[in-house]
Amino acid sequence: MQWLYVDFPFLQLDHFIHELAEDKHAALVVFCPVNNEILQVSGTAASAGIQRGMGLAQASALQSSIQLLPYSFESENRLLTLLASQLYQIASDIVLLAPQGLAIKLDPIIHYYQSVGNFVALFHHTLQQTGLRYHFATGPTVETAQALAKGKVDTIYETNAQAICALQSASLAVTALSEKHITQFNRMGIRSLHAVFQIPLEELGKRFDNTLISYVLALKGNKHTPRPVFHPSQRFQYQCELPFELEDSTRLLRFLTHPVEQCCAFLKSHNLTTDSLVLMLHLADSPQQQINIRSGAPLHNAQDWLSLLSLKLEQIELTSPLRGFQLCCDNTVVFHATSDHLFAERFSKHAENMLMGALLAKLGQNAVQRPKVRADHRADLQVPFSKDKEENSKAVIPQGQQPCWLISPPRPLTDSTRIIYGPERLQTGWWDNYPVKRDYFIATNAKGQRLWVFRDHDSQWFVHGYFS
Amino acid sequence: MKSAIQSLTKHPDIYLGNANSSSQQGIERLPLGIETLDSALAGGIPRAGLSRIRCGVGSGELQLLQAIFNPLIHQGKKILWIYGYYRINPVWLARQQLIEHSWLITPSTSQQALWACEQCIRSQACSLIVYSFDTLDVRAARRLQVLSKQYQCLVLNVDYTRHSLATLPVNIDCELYLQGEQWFIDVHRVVGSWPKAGIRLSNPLPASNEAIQSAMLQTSTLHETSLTAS
Repeated sequence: MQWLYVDFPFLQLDHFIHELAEDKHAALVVFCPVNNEILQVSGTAASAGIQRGMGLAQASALQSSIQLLPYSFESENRLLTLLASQLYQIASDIVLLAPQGLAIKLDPIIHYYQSVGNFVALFHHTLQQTGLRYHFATGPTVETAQALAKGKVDTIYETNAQAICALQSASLAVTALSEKHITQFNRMGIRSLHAVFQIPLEELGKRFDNTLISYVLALKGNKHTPRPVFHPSQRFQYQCELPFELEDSTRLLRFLTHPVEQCCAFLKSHNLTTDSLVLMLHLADSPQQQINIRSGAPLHNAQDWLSLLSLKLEQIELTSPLRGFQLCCDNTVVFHATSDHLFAERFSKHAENMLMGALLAKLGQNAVQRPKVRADHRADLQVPFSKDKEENSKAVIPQGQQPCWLISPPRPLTDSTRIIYGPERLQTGWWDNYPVKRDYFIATNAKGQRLWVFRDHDSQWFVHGYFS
Repeated sequence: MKSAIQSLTKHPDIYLGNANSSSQQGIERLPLGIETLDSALAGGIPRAGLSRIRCGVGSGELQLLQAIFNPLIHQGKKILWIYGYYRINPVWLARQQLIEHSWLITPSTSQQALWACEQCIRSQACSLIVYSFDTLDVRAARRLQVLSKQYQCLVLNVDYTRHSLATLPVNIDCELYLQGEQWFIDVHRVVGSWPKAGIRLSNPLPASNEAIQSAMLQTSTLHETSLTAS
C-alpha cells in the first residue's frame, strides 16, 4: 500500500491571498488571538522578518503595516473539504486530516493512470491552479507520508522501503507526537526517529501508552490505522468572510465569481442542474439576509448564473455593511440529456485527465499548458504559461489587431515590406518596469506573408508576429 | 481471385478513380465554406485522419481553416496545438472563441512532438490536433494517419517549411501560395477526388487602411473640385 500525503501549511492565508486579497503583496499574517501567536506568514511579511510563533507586538515592531487575519479552524476545514472535492475529480480514495492535510491512496490510481508519475504530474497541475503552497511525500502508511511531508521532503518514493529509510533521519518535531511525548523522548536522549525505531516495543510499552505504540508502528509502516474515506457532499455550500466590509451590494459579484464557478463544476460532476441558488448575506449590525435567485429553467453554466446574480445584486439594498456570505445550492435535479452530449463530455473529462497526466509527466509542466489571457495590451506579456488566477472568462481581451503567432523576443525587420494597415499606437506600462511606446502596423512582404511589425521610440523596426 | 480483389478495393487507403461517389460516401467532411475549394476537396476536409497544408507562416492559413473549428469545438473535446517555431497568442485564441477548448504543447524534440500527438489521438479527448512542430516524414505520417482514422480525430499538419516534396499518406495535401497579387491553392492529393492545381482564392487581409485611403482620396477630390469651381 502506498499513500501520498499533502500538507498545506498556509491554507487559510494562501486561499485569502489568491481569492480575496486586494493587494496580493501586502504583509499578511494569520493570527491566533487566543494564544497571541502568528500561525501563517505571507512572503512579504516573512521578508520583513516576521516568523511563525511570534507574538503580535513583536510582529508589529518589525512591520508597522501588517494585516491580520484571525485564524479559523472551521474556515480551514471548509477549504480542505473544497480542495478534496476538486481532487476527487482525479483521485478516488482521499482521507482528510483536518485542518491542513489530506492523504491519497495511490494503489488504485496506478491502474487508472498507468503509473504514479502520470498521476503525480496531474496532481501538481491541479494544485498549482489553486495557488496554495504545499509539501508532499509518499509512504506505506498515512502517518509515514505525513511525517515526511511535514519534514518538507517533497519526494515521491519509488518503494516504501525508501520512504521508511528517509523517515529515520527525520526529527521528532515533524511527527504527530505530543509535546509531552517529545519532551519525554528528549529526556531519554532520543531526538530522531531512527533512535525511536531502535527501542524495542516492550521498552516503549513500559514508558508510554498504547496510542504512542500504535503510532510508532504506523510510522514504521507495520500498522494501518483505519480512516474514513472522503465522500463529496451531495449539496454545494460555500462560505466566505470578506476581507473588508462592503456597503455596495454590486461589489459582491467579484467575490461570488469563484464560488459560482465551483458550484457549477460541482453540478456538472454530479450530473445535476439547478434552478435556484440561495445567497445568505452576513451583515454587521443586522440579522442575516437571505436572497433566493431563481432561473426560469435549470441551469448549470457559471456565466448564466453570474448574469442572474448581477441583476439580483443591483436590486438589493443593504441595511448594514456586509461582512461575509454563504452560497448554497439545495434544489438540484438530475440533468436529463436530450442527446448523448453530456455523456460524451463526461467521458472526455476522464480522458482529458489521463491525457494531461501523461503529457505533464513526459514533457514537463512548462511544455503543457492551458492558455490564459492577461488584461494587458502588451503582447510580450501574453505568456500562455501564466500561472495567474486571472481566468479567461474574467479577463478583458485587449483591443487592436493581434496575430496568431508571436515572435519572442521581436526580431529586427530585415525584409522589404509594404504597410497595409496602421498605425496603432501602444503606449503603456509606465507604472511598472516594462514601459512600451510602439506604433504597430500590419505589413506584407513579397511572399504575401502578413507581418505584425512595430516601430519603437528610436524609430527601429521589428517583426513581432504573423497573421496566419 | 475475385474476392481477393474485392477485399483489396475495400481497403481505406485505396481509391478508385471511377468510384468517387459510392466508395467515399462514408467519409464525413468539414467544409471550408469556399465553394471552389470545397468542390476540389470533394466536400471539405475529412473529419478523421491526417491532412497537410503547406505555406509560409502568416499566409492567412488558419483564417482559411477557421470554418472547421466551430463544428469541432462543439463536440466538447479539446483542440491541441503542438508547435515549436513561434509562440501562440492567447488573445488570438480568445477572439476565435478557441481559448477554453485549447491546450498548448511545446515539445523540445520531434520525437516528443510525435509522441504527444499520438497520445492525444489515442486519448480520444481531442477532436483536432494542429501540428506545426516540424515536417513529418513518411513513416510518422503513416502512423498518425492510421491512428487518427482509428480514433476519429483530425490532425492538421501546418507545414511552414515547404521544403518537403515527399508525398505523404495523408487525406489532403495542399499548398497555399501567392503569385503576383493573387492567392492560389494547389491540391496535390485528396481522398475521394483528383488533384487540382491553381485554384484561385480570395484570402482577405486581417485589416487594411483602404477605407481611410478612399475617404482621404474622396476628400482631396472634393477639395480640388471646389478650388476649380471657385
